[in-house]
Amino acid sequence: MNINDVIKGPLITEKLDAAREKFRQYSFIVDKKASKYDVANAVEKLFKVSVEGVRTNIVRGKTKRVGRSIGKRPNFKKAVVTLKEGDKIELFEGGAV
Amino acid sequence: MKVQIEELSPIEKKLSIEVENSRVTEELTRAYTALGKQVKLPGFRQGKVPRRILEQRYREQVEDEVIQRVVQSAWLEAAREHKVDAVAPPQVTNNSGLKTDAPFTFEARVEVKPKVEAKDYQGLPLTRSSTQVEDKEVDDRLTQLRESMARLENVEGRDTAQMGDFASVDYHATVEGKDFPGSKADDVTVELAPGELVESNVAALEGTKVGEAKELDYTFPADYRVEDVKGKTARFKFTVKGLKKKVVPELDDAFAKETGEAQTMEELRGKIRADLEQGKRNKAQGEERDALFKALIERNSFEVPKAMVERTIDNMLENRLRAMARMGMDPRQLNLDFARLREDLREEATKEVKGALLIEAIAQKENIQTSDADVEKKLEELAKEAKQDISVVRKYFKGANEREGLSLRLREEKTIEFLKGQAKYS
Repeated sequence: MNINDVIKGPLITEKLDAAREKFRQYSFIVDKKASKYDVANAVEKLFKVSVEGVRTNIVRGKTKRVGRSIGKRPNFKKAVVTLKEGDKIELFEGGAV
Repeated sequence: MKVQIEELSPIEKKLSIEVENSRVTEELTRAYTALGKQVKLPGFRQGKVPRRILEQRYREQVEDEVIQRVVQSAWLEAAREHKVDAVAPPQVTNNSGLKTDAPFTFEARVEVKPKVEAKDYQGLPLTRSSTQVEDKEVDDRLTQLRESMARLENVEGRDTAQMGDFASVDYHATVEGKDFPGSKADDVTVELAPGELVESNVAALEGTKVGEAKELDYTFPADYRVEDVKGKTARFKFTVKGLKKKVVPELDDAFAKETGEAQTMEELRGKIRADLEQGKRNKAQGEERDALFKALIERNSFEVPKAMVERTIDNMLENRLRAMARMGMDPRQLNLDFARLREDLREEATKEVKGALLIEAIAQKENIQTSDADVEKKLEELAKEAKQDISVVRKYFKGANEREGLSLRLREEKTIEFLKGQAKYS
């Protein structure tokens, strides 16, 4: 897979922010068809870091209803990437963007 | 906080202010904490967004705000501490930006009240204007009153119109045999007096009897408001229906009562005289104040801050607009050229500001002060003048600002009295 198509964006929540601090784990929303290897490859190339491990799962979209009509938010694939000690991705650290 | 003051001119100062880092940091923390409580971001509960992420997203906004706040408070503190008598908010330039490792610095340029040293204020030339009211002026005023209260009464025992009569007529006019707008009217009152027909003066009706008609030619003025007949000659036919004459009331006690001002003629005369005297006194006072200001300014030249002049112009404009509104005009509909109005007022405003500053300087030098008792006395006077209960006036001047203003005005009056006492009358 083309590395530019793999990562769709960063995923930042309270929980994941804690994981970043504690375990150097950075999370992304990735293409549903991307494999763990694709993600590792893309992160290493794009952010110039070394990846230690990748875990992925599909996050199921919530069903939402507005009055009578029922809808479903789309599913997406979440990838949690553990970096090698000492590496970091500035985008998540705050400060300069 | 370190402050350096540089005097650019008697009316302008430059303050270079340096604010310690810790103070800035404190402000920043406060700003981010406040922001963090409000901000809603996906992935975070409200109030739980880490400062790091806030900084990433809102840095510019927060820093601008903090700079503004720090500048404001630092400036106020500096002005208070170093007794900078500012007349307007400062212009802030060259701020260093917030840095974590260096103090925050900025420069503020501000217009200050000049230190005025009044000199040569003894023996200012003044002309004494008379406030004496002549009997003739009273008579004139009475005649005016009489005229304004005249009534029209039917003429008895005579049916031929005379000069000075008022005739009730129907008329019909034609231009070249044709009617025009307003060419016909019934029951119009015209005066038999020399003058223009369009102003309801028709002398030619003299000798016409009631019930008779009279025809005459009349040429409209070239600037008449009806377009069709401008400068044209019309044939007018007047039918006289009745005669009236103007009856001017006799100058007696009954007349005095009717004016609603007094019970007897004697009293009315006295009242009119008092009014006229008051008017003259007021005018003389205004003139003397003007003359004093002018002379003072001639003898003491100094620069005045622009901001003070502008503010005075603002006040003057506002007063004028309010006066217009009182007279029933709508300033918004008059299409006023405010820029020009301001220019026109500038000279007067400058004079006013200079005068006020000089008066203040003199008052200080001569130790002229106003006490609370003076203010109270003035309040009573004002109440009497406005024919209001003193409690109403007191309510109006309850605020510290209003009271301060009144006290300043009193001091000016006192100082002017003092100057007058020293002036050379010619």
